[in-house]
Amino acid sequence: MTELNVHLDHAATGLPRHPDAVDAAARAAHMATPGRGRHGAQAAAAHVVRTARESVRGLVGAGTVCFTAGATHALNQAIAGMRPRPRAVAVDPMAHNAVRRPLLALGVPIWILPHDESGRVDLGAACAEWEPVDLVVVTHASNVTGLVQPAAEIIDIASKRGARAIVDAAQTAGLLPLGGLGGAAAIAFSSHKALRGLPGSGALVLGHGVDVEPLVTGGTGADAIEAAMPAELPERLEAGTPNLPGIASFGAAARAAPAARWDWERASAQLRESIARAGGRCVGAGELPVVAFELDGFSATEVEEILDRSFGITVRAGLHCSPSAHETLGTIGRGTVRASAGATTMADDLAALEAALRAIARAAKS
Amino acid sequence: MNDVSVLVQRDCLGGDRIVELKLPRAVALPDLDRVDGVVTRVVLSELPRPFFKLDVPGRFLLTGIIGDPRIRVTVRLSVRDRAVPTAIDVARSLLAGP
Repeated sequence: MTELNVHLDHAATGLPRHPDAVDAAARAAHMATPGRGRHGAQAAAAHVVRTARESVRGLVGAGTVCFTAGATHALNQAIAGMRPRPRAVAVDPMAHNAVRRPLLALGVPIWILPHDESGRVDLGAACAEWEPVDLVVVTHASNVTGLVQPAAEIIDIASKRGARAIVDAAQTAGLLPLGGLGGAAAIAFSSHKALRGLPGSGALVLGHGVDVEPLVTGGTGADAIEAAMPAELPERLEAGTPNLPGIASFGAAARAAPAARWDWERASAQLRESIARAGGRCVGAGELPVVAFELDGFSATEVEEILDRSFGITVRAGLHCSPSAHETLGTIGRGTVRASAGATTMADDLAALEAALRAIARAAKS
Repeated sequence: MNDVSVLVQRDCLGGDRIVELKLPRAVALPDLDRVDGVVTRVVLSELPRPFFKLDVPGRFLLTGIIGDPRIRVTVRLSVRDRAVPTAIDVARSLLAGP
């Protein structure tokens, strides 16, 4: 990597971290374990967790927040733990492996929701062709193309047919309002992407009355004599010592989210225009500033390597842990480059990407 | 040649295997002439840090930056069981000169 470092991999992790999130984690690093014992030190830590839980809940507006190790953990918990167990499931075509793999592990029929060539769910066709599923998992926004699914409408359709819905909001938490997804049984997201909290923290927000069997059992700080995990949430899904610095950071990032709002629609348009002007071919379609693209004459991994090592620009090549999306886009055999912007991305960063892609294309011709 | 260090190994698209190595010295342009079986050779010398790509079909793709000791060897599917030895052989051939 060169001295210049342009981070255009915000879909993987939001950098630099939000300063409030870093400060909160640093303070929490010196605190006791919440909920263990009755002493004042744990009470102070418990207060941090309570406050963070309320702040994270504020992103959704309702439901019970259960802290997890990340969105992947939350999605596995929701999919594998959902009771009654689903007998058949539906999923949109842009699912991340954090959804695809636990769904496959269920061993039940999987219906891919009807969609257009960009992977956007066709609501009319979904209604007309509805299969007898009892669980639907929706990718709120694709981590490959930034495509935003009509999640609220899909949840509504599912609900009217007696199916529960789980939403993977990993790419949208802190960016899009999640309040309209309140009809979902569960919403999963992490702290470290658009929110720019520390990695290692996530949330599973469960709707009222949703029954989820814990994947992990152990100590909760209460009811120690009982053989089973407590029935109450969030304790039921939070066995073991909580990641206090991560949770504190998550809460601070969630509190900062409204103030950190940025014009991501403009950034998305600028990112797509920069890539296209430089000769890159954008793949698929999307709304968020997450763009899959190809550059003639180079593989995706070559573009990634050149941008990183010759220009100090960080992007990501490959399948982006979403073979389903690449299958849909027709890029499964080769993958794509992905550039993704965040709240800290400056116009100069996009200009640097455009100039670099132009230079690569020009050098290849000379 | 013990000072060639393997930094990363990971799977790649289509079953290839990527091995990244650090050489004891930076790669120089003449080093590229010592790799056998190269069918396609690309050097993007106009870039701020010149990128090179040597393709030996059916065996590996070697990429890196002139002036940098780190190289990436994408070992093809047919020989991926010997990914690390293949990558180390490539490193040795690069460094075989003065």
